[in-house]
Amino acid sequence: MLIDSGDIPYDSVINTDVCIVGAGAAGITLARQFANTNIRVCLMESGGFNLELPTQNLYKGSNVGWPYWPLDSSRIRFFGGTTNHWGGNCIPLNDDDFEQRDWISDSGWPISKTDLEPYYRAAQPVFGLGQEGYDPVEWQSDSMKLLEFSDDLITSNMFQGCEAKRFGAVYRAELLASSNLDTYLHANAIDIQSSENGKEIVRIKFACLNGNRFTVNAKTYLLALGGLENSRLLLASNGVQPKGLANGNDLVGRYFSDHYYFARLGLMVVPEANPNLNYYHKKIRVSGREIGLHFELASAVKKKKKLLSTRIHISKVPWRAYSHDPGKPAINRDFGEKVASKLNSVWQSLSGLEKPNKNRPESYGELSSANLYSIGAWIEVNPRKDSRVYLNDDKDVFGMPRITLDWIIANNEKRSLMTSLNYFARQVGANGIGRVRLDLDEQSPWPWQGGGEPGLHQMGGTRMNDSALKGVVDKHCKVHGIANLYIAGSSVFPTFGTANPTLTIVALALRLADHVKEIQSG
Amino acid sequence: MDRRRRKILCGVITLPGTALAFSAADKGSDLAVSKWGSLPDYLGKENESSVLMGKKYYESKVLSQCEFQEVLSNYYRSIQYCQPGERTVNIVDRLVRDDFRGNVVVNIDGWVLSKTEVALCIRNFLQSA
Repeated sequence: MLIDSGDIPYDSVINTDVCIVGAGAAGITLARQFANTNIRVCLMESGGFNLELPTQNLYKGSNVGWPYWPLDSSRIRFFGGTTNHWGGNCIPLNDDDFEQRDWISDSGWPISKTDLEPYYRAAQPVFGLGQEGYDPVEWQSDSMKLLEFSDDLITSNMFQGCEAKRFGAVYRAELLASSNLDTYLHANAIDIQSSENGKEIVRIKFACLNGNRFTVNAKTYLLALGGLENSRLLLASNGVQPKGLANGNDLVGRYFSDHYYFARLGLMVVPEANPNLNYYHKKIRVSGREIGLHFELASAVKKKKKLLSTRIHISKVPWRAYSHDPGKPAINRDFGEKVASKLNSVWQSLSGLEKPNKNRPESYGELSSANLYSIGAWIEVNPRKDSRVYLNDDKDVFGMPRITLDWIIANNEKRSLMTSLNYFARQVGANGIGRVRLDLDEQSPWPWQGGGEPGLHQMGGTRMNDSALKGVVDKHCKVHGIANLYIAGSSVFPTFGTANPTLTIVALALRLADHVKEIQSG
Repeated sequence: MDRRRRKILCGVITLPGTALAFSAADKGSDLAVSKWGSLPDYLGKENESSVLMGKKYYESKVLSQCEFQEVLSNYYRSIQYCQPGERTVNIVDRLVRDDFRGNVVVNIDGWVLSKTEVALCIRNFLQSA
């Protein structure tokens, strides 16, 4: 049933089995798992079915750390949540993203990739994807060949592009048709109230922009408000615990991160059009599916060199556009063209040792943009306790404190990025693919201004750890010390990798739903 | 000859004795300097096309004399002891790839280049200067 919260009687009390707060990727996935069961569920959404500015404004906050998008435009607050502006790229975390890496402080998940594998598979149809895996080798065919690196230092990795990416639109009818599930729109959670000993949630207070107020009492509460808002609601729910709910160890809001994408880190010049490279610089269709390929350092290299993960992308960019990028170091407009022709000359010189060899690249393509690629990268960010979301003195229309984001990226990330790119550059040369110029060096300013932007992958803040001293939730996403409160979404990620988080968010939500069903069934 | 070029040429005299000694080992008569054609300029600012790539390398001191001689010696040894029939360009290609594998690289204005290819460019410049 669909209910507009503004229309229900003031101060109503709604009793249910499960209360899901937030109808984004995690919340909708959870709700679907309970649909048509004997478990009564309320799905609470702050917005409506379309963007409404007064609701969106509730997301306003401030940034004081690493450059970030405005908080009210970096996420979407209506039915479907941030899937409403999601690009649709699905990619699981790598095995080593789950592992504790001794060179990355506070790294590691309390679960392994193996634990999550069944749920990754179950998540595929949620996105309208098939059961094909994420090993690009398996996708090779006569029409798609991977670029081969002989030394196993660089590997190819991939994402799958999905069609079913606007969860609100895709699953709205299904959810509204479910007999045991009530969907409330315009319901803003403003206070989670616990028992006096703080060990159980007894109700959540909701408010509407039209002035209405009501309460939901449930057996189990699932917060699925997103990477920033989960922390905000816990911190603001301070009726029993002055520092905020579940914040006895001062961890709520901490270890926040996003991914950062640097679009212009350098360029690659190849001597001749390499057909295999064509599969890397854009999304391609293979066997009717859309995929995208990129490069990563092999896990063994990252371990040996103590590196964070880096996902290296190449893209064709016309020289003119490249040289005019205001974020790049100043170069003259013909710089790239000169380099291309000069490298051409290098090899012509080498080829000149003998008569021209047809198998030897004799030209770097002159000024042809077909052989020029810009290099970009997604970087993994080190989990840091001081990288955080906290409440500030500003308040929204409900009197709920707004947040300040202090996201930290430091030199460790720069070192990992530079080292990874150097490996890539050397492997490009070693395999006769071409030559690489890197614009980022030790003297470069950090943050690097070469066409960078946050990925809108808000993670952390309520991180997962077996110990309440190191995490807000346990491996089942249950809040430590509170019997009936769970958190869904990327805020539980303790380590971030470079993968777009949505597939993992949905896989974790499927896993959480199984766990809650078990508990509900006694 | 301008002052700058004279200065470079003075440096040349003390440079790659080993390289010059081995130069006779270059395979084939097409190794005459003229066959290299004009040397390219490199990373020069606009209207500075007279800046030669080799000169750029040379002046950038990305390779010490010792390194330069060592790399070229390796190159000439490889030429001298290559498999019968192996083509020079393939030998160079192999050496260059090995450089990248072994991290025997230099960074010139951001370009990650093999020391062998850089040394050959310097030699090229020196021979034509």
